[in-house]
Amino acid sequence: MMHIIKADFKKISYLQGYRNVLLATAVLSILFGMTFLFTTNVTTGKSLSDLSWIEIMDITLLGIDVTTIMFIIFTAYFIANEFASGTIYTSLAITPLRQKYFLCKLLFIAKISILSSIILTCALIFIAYVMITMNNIDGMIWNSALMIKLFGVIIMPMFYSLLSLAGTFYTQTASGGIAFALAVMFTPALIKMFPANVSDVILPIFPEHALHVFTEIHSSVDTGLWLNASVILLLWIAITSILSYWRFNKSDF
Amino acid sequence: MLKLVNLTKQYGDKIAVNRLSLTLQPGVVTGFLGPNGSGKSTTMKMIISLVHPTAGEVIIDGKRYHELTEPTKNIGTLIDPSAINHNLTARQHLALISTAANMDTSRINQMLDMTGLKMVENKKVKSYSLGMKQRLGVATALMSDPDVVILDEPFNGLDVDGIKWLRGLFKQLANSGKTVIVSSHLMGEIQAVADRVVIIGQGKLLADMTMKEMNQKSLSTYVYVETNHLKKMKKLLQDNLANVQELEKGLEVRNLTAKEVGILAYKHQLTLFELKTVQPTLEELFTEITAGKVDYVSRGDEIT
Ligand SMILES: Nc1ncnc2c1ncn2[C@@H]1O[C@H](COP(=O)(O)OP(=O)(O)OP(=O)(O)O)[C@@H](O)[C@H]1O
Ligand SMILES: [Mg+2]
Repeated sequence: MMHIIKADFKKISYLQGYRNVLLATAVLSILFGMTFLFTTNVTTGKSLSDLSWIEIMDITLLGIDVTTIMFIIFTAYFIANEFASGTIYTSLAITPLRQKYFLCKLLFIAKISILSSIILTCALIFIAYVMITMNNIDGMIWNSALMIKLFGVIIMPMFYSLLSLAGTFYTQTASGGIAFALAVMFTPALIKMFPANVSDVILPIFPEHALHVFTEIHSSVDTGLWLNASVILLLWIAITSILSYWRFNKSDF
Repeated sequence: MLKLVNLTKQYGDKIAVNRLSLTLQPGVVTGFLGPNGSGKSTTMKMIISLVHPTAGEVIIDGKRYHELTEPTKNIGTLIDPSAINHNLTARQHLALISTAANMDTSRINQMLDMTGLKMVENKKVKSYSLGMKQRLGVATALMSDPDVVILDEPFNGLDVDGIKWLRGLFKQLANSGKTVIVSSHLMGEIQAVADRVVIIGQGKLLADMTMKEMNQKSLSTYVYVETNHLKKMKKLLQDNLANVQELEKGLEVRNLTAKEVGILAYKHQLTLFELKTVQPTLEELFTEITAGKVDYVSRGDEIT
């Protein structure tokens, strides 16, 4: 199984298209993070030096939202290319066990998205940290609350990439994967427009809410809340993966 | 050994492959013939589990394809020469395959040499002609030195040299004890290379025989001759061991070339009106087969 994942990494090193998308992901994520940081006057009405260190972190780390969207696209194209180009014939000839093939792709996407998001999160934190020190904002502490926030930020691109993967395997098209992941991502924004008694019930089911449980800095430790959120996220991945695997497994090529 | 047992595939109400049973032996080149849409590709895809059979199964050395630990060592396939990432070079494509299947990388150079792609190994596949893609497809199929080689229409797009090369390669593979299966919808492509011919139509097995048997029956190339003295000519040809069938105006001659027939006629002072070599088309074969003139399904185990 390691060989197949290794071959996928090799594919990225061979193909300029994939390398460019990854490069663009890095550049755009940092660029957006910095843009958000330097436009606080417009967006929040406060200048940088008036913000707390938590707010500066939050704003800079919005760059990871860009990473997430880019990874949704990358994943969909990476997976769908096999179906579109017909290389699935060769891949399945090498790995005829469909569950093994599916699992290898899932692990590859998980690996590359988490690696990229760790690197980019570090870069963004560094930028935020520089801003915090330059503006003499104090009170910053590397406590466990911050660590949990960073955990939430780091897993977000991977989470939506895996949804994109599921959507792509299910529809066997890149557009299907992208549409599905983005729909899951943005539906909560629509639901928020419903009356509170409706949205309060539906929203917690969506991953956005669960991810927020991690990314928001809480003053107190609430393990139950985190556990709940983890279950929601894992269920999303499990159910969508199983459905798309089932569809993929019964497909003829 | 490769065995198809009652292999069937149904798409909706269309039966693409219909209860196909075959045993394919090593050391033999098997031509897999059939017109467009007769189920050749579907059969080949079912062998490597790309398509799930509706009924029946494929047994490879006692196992199903997906149960094999290193399936590419058992079977190498070329399904579609264009099914390659066109932004890769030939070398990169083969390198990815060798990584994924954990193969010996030294095979890459060997395959590039063998298929004559060495000169273009660092060019992207999108710049390749169909013939070059076929060659790369053949290289892909043979990368893991498999026991069984299955190629779907490998002659498509190849030039004269390419066809000659491929025929030589098939002979060589069969001689080294491999099972070679080559599909085509053209009789001529197969005739020169196959030891055994399997013909399917609408997913059904229509004929299965050795090339030798086929040549004795009426499926092969023949010489058509018209002369002023048909009876005399017929006797003459039969005396020279030809297999002759009398038609309305001429004779259908097997076992002798047009040149030999011409020389015979000249020696015996017969006037020829027409002398030509005829290659029956697959369509003609089908009419003949479906008309039930001859029983074309022989014991498959006559080839060793
Ligand atoms: N995925 C599919 N869905 C529905 N019908 C299909 C599918 N694949 C093949 N068929 C049908 O099955 C039949 C056999 O197709 P197949 O591609 O195996 O033929 P073939 O002998 O390889 O033809 P060709 O010489 O054109 O390559 C055809 O009638 C085709 O339309
Ligand atoms: Mg075909």
